[in-house]
Parts: sequence; structure tokens; C-alpha cells
Amino acid sequence: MSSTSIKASRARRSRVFDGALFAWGVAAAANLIAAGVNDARQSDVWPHWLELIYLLSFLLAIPALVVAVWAKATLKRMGAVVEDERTVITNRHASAVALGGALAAQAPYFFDVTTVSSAQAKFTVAAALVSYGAARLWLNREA
Amino acid sequence: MRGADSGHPLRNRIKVARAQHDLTQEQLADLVGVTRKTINTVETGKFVPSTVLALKLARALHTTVEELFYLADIE
Repeated sequence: MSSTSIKASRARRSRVFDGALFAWGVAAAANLIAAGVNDARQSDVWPHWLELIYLLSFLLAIPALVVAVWAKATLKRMGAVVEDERTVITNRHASAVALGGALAAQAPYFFDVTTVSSAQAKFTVAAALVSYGAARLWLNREA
Repeated sequence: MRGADSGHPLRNRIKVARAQHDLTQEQLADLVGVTRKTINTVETGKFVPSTVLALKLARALHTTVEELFYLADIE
């Protein structure tokens, strides 16, 4: 394989990794929010639309995670650099934003909004995931 | 992460030096062992590289760190 085709292959795989990771984040957050909304309803019966969101996001999250792990492993095998000082700093900043998101998600509960603790936990994790993903997208943007 | 942390915006001549050596961002990234996006964000001033990375960039572009990076209000 020529170096040009190796580079093109690496670039493609890198895009697959980014896309799969994004899809996993969106699907996982949607899944948690759907489950949280259902917990908050405290009803045994799921509304069809909510069940559909829950099921579809679950079905998307699992393969997206598998593809992301596979793409990262193959990128490393191909000799691509997947982590460097910028990605470490980006990850650190995005984690700080995720913490802020998780704390912000608690704000309603300071104002007498009540819900079951399982729903609160799911909304908190979903808020952290969404904040982390949004921060990562923002920090990784190119000019 | 930005280049204006100390009040002196950090500028660089990486793009020019890269063009002089006929290198793409990806080729330079491979030479110094970082991602292409890192080279892009350093070039655009969004990311201030560590001293080690600055030295690696200078070595890869056959120049010095002082030639490659400068403070905007000084030059």
C-alpha cells in the first residue's frame, strides 16, 4: 500500500471514529433522557413515542460504541497519532465543562422541583454527556 | 488553550515555514508526532504548544523556536 493510500485510509478511519463517537454520545444521552422521563412519570406503561426513542437510541448506541472502539484500535495499528498534548488538554477542559453541566442539571432541584432519584441520576449523567460532547466539538473546531 | 493568556498574543510563522519546505499539515504532524488538527490549531493560534512541541516543530522546519514563534506586540 502506498503512503498516499495509507494516509487517505487513516483520514477515512479518523472520520469514522469521530462520527461513531458523536453518534454514541447523542444516542446515549437520548437514551438516558428517555429513561429518565419515563422514571419521572412513575408509570408502568411507556408512551409509544418515548419507548421508540429509548429503543432506537439503544440500538444506535451499542454499534456506535463498537465502531468507535474498533476505529480507534485500527487507527493505532495503522500508526496514526490519536492522542497528543492538545487532545489531553481538550479532554481536560471538556471534563471540566461536563462537571459544570452535571452541577447545572441539579439547579431545578434547589427550587422544589421533585422527581424520583433514578430520573435525577439519569438527567445528571445525560447533562454531563451533552456538555462534554458540546465542549469537545467546540474545542476541536478548526479555523 | 488560546495564545493570549499572558496578554501577549502568540503568533507564529509555521504556515510560511511549512510552505518553504513544501510540507502539508499532515506531513508536519507525522514528523513531530501529533495529529493534523493540532498543527492546524497551532497555526491559527487557537492552541499554544508546549515547549517540547515548539522545539520539535522548529527542528522539523529547520529553524529556531524564536524564528517560528513571536509575541504580537513585540514584533
